Amino acid sequence: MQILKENLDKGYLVAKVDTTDKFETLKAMGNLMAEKGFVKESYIEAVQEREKVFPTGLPMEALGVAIPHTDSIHVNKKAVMCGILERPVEFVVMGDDEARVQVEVVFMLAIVKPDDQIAMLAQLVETCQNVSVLQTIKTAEDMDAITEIMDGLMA
Amino acid sequence: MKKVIVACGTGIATSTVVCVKIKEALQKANVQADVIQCKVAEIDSKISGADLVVTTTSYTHDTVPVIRALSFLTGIGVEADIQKIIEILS
Repeated sequence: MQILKENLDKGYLVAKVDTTDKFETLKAMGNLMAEKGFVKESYIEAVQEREKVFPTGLPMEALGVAIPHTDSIHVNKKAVMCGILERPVEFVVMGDDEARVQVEVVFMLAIVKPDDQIAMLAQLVETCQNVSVLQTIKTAEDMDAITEIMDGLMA
Repeated sequence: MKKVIVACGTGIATSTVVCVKIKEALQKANVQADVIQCKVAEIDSKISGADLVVTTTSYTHDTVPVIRALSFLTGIGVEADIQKIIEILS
């Protein structure tokens, strides 16, 4: 795990994540979210369990994304962690237990009150639907652009 | 008034986004409907009188039509799904 950018005030993290399966990915990202105080220790197991029952893989036009999240009782502060995967990891597609997607970018969400975070959630969906924006994140080279994207998300 | 239930696993993230998008689409198409958001586990308790269920999880119902909401998140095929929703509610 290599942290590329952190903004604890706005509540986001961007990191390169090197893992080989989705539970390892969720654990590594959850650990860092807990370390930074965004979520409780209990989030790490809860988000993995939630992924088993309600998968969050999204085959976007640009590439595979996952948006793991879990109940707010495990959350301290609203936050998003963007994990850029060094190696694609297979997730089950949301709402379709038969379908799989190779995920390259993970947005792990710490949600406290959904009504307060509609703007962030809507912006996240827009971000993921934008092919060039998602490619910029995945490439992980233009940190100014990535910072701008994350600032926009947590505005 | 037509009734639409929008559900996801936790009732906190994806259903919130899908709910907003469906409300916008219905307003644009001038279709009046109550759009209710909940967890998938709560659908059965709220389904009475519902005309449509839109969900981001796997769910089926014997009598009420169910539309998968994945397109609202990926953007792929969303126009076709909005058209389907409007047809069901019109």
